[in-house]
Amino acid sequence: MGFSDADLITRVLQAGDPNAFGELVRRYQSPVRSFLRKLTGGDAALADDLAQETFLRAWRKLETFRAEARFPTWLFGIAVNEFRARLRRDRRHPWNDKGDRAADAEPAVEAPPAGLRLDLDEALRRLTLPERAAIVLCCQHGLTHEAAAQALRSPLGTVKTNILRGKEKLRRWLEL
Amino acid sequence: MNDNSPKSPDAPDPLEALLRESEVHLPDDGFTAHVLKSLPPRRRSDRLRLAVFSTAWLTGMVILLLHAPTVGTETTAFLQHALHGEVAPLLSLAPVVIAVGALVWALASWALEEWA
Repeated sequence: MGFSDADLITRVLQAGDPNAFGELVRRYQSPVRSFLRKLTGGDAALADDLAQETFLRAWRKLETFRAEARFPTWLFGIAVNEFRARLRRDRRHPWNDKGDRAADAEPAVEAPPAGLRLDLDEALRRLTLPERAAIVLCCQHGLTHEAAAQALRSPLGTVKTNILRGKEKLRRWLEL
Repeated sequence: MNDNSPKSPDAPDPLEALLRESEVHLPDDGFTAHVLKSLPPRRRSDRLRLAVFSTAWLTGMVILLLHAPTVGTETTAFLQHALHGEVAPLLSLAPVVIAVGALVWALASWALEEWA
């Protein structure tokens, strides 16, 4: 029988067991890398670099993990922080989720020309970062709105608004 | 799971279905091994670090307070003896050096742990 996340975390904390941590990495590498690929607009190398930083930070800060959150939610939160830190370091446009108007005023990429149907990846890339992150976490990785708000460190209302607004854009661009 | 769809439960939202279906499992391709190779040694537990930090800080403060009235004189004497190459009198200042060292070490280790 496999170990639960909680069992593995306990083994890491009590015995510093890297194999237990390795099992956690194996379990969650795909969702974390996939999420970061979406955030980076499909840059697989950068996403993997950030994913590695995410797991290293998780290893160093595992004592701060509190069982009231699910482990993947905590990991997504670290991934978002790593991504934001990289944006700041590279002096690219900062993540802006301070209110709906600000998020709307900062398109990730301009909207497509009228009548042009996009594929999903391209359409996701055209969303603002807060919209894209909220939609990917909730609609692709199955997080609740509350968990997504926790991972993104955004107010729940902002996350809900970003999801609604993002979905509306996606429906329009994908003609669904 | 969430109920983000604005439509009724019996009418599946094509966008949500598309989003779910587009999520594919990424093969590991050596990612886990690469992460494990880069892992630094585990830090001691928070409780132990707190105990070590508090003990070092308290020890330093107690020794400094005990020696506070004489630190000035001892330092002057230390400098005079040091100039003449005498070693024995340096011992009187040893507790102060240990105390300051303990304080500096405690603060530095705390700062390094925070920034790691």
